[in-house]
Amino acid sequence: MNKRFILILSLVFLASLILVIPVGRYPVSALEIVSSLWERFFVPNPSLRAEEVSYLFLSVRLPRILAAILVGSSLSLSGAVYQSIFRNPLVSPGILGVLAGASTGAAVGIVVFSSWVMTQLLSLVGGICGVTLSLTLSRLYPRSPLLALLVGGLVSSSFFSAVTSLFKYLADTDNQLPELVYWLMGTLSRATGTQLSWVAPLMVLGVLYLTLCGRVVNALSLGDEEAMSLGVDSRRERLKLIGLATMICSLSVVIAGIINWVGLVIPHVVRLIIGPNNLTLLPASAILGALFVLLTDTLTRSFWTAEFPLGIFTSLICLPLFAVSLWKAGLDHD
Amino acid sequence: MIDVKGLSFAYRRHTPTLMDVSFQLGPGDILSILGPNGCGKTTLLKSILGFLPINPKTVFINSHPVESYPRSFLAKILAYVPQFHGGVFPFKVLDMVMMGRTARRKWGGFDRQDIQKAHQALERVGISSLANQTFTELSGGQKQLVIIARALAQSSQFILMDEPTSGLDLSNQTMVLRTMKRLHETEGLTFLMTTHHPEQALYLGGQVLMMRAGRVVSLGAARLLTTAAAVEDLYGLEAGLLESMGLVPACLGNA
Repeated sequence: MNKRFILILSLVFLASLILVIPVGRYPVSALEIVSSLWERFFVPNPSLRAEEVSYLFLSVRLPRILAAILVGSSLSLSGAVYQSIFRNPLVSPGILGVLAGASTGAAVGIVVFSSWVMTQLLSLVGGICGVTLSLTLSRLYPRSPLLALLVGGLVSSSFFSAVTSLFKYLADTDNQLPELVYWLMGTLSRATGTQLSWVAPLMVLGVLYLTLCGRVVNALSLGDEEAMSLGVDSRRERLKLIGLATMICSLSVVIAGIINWVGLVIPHVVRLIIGPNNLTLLPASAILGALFVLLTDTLTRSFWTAEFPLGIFTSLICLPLFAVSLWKAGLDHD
Repeated sequence: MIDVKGLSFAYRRHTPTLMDVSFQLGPGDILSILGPNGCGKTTLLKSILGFLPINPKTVFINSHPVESYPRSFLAKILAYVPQFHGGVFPFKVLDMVMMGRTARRKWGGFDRQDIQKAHQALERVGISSLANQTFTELSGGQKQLVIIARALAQSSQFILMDEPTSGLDLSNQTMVLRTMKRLHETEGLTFLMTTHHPEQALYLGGQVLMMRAGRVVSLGAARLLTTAAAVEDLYGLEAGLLESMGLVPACLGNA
């Protein structure tokens, strides 16, 4: 059942990929894209139309599709990893303070440095600071580590949200404030090939490595002592997994700003369908997360005259999904 | 061979939990650690398993200090059945047992041999029919048998159990103990178990180690040491109290 689900999900993902490539404001079919690329690279003196279509695909559509896949898989996979190793299905990159920390980093980048490179670097640093603060606060109350983690995450998120608000207040209202607000709503419209060239390799490696860690994540989901007795160096492995999950999450903020709910809801939905075994849960979460963001982004950029921020739509769609998954989990429990 | 040599341990300064504990456990033996709450039974077990930062060269596993083993290697020698299971997710029973094979694989998932070993472990414990059930929906006794099956799937030399019948009703306690005894007698498995119940130590046979306030009070054959008087002394009860209350199991009275 589980392997079949991953296979079906992969086929749906590939089909969706082929279907969304031609979708956009500039109408062009998948066949024309392929023929234009062929002409552009293998035929001397390609036509103007072929040049145009190739440029459109390589510079606009391909980076955006790749960005959607990377952001969706990273957020969903890191959510699944966090939930398992913290043994709490309510944990997500948003709740652990990663997204709030990354937002603060980005706010500093936009307001203080007015530079996209600094914005991206600082959002990565901010994400790491966010999760570090959550974990540090959770250690202050060792009697109930899971509750302490949630409270630590909430406090960390609130702290970084406050700092972000401070920077919004200080921002120049003509340029910096709209830029910051729009970016925090979550959008893939700024994804470029240059940006992806340094972010994508790290994210791909992180995602691939984490999807192969299901066996260790399963053991860690039983708690430290059981994991150690099963042969897992729990302290080292957990640190490594949190580090990698935080890295890919923060890099997703670098590309797209804040995309809420994906990291919480998608692993829930997958767990509901195929169960909690991380050997299949992790790859399935990565594929479904990628598919979800890819389709939602296509919706936001194609079906209205104005482009809506992606983050708004992921929240609008994920909320009912989360309610349904909770309701279904409740039914199963009864 | 598990060889504990003068092991002392303290969670806080000046309040030692273990003091100069020494004993040996060879392959094919059963050792029950008996003693009142807070006497250090679980701490002793965790020290042997390498969970605690004990003094170097006080616990030896197959002649090497426990701290010298990488975690994945130690899991091939020692398996652990905890008092309380820490998982919250509803794993299938087979998946749970398969986790016993974690240390046998370096990358990716499990192979056909692992699946076979997990099925065999379920069979050895007598719960093959539960393979596709959800672990969190089982009874306490069934859960404990699944964790024992996971320890068997680990294919380790020693199985360390922390109060394996804690919180179970009489029927489930009997189920777990009979399974342990059968595995010991038919397959020669080695068990190291902590317990509050002297009659369990007697039922399983082998050796008993009595502890009080972090120290070893006595160590020897369970059938010789586990008497009503020794139990009353160990738990600080008045002499003859157990008998006067009619609480002396026949086995203790006869010993």
